[in-house]
Amino acid sequence: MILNVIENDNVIQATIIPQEANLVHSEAFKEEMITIIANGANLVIVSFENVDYIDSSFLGSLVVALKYAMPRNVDIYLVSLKPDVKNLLTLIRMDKVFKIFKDYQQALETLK
Amino acid sequence: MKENEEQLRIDFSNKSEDISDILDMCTSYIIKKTAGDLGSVVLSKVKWVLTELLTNAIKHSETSTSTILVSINNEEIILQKQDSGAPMQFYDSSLNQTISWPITNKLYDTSHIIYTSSTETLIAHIVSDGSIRFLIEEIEPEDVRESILTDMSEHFGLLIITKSSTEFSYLYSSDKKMNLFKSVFKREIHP
Repeated sequence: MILNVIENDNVIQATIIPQEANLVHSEAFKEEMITIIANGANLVIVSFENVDYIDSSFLGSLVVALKYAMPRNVDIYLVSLKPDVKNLLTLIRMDKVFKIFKDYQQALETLK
Repeated sequence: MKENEEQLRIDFSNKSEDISDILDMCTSYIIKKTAGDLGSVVLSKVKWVLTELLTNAIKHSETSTSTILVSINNEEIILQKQDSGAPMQFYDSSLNQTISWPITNKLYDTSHIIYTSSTETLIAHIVSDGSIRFLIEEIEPEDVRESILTDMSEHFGLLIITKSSTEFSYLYSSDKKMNLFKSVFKREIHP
């Protein structure tokens, strides 16, 4: 299991458990995200609070999840990114694709 | 090797569970040899590139081992990945042709699009020695989030390496039957 999931009114808080979001975990992450979306979530907030580094395989899975989510009117927010992780997303301009927030609380405030 | 250049050579098992150990060995070596004068931004980029070179070895080399070489001189840090797998090839849709090694002379000094995403085009420029240099052209789509549905590439490895490196190149040695990916970082002092 890659994600620790808490559900509240179809809003999913999904915390990535491994410190290394890499090739070892990317396929399982993609499958868990797609299952969450298919089960009727309106919004999936993915927390990177435990993640020290991310690689291209995991980023690819994140993009696949967003491609699966968008036609179903489901959005994916990213929260609690450490500087190295955020800098890599910015390098390949994923910061323009995903909505990024400081933490769960700030992300949830956009729903009020 | 340049004057004052030192080199670390590591054989990699091409197993994903060994990536972390190899990454630690390489970054420890670089930190020690640069005596702390390497900025955190450059060190992060070196880690990203190492990770992607190792991941590339697992996904694409189709061999049981690869070799990672880390070279450091007064001006540069150089990361190289060698393997004895099949040479790289890619399809150029504008030529309706698969480009593969060894490269014929008529393709020297030509550029080819490897792929285009919503935000970037990755280009392979073939140099006169038959090697290729990877280049990026950035695109400004009107709506990135919408364009992701149709054309956002999910293959970010080469993109990350090209954007992180000062220079990134590939060469296939027909004599040695060896692939060589080479990423160079200028040793400027960064924050």
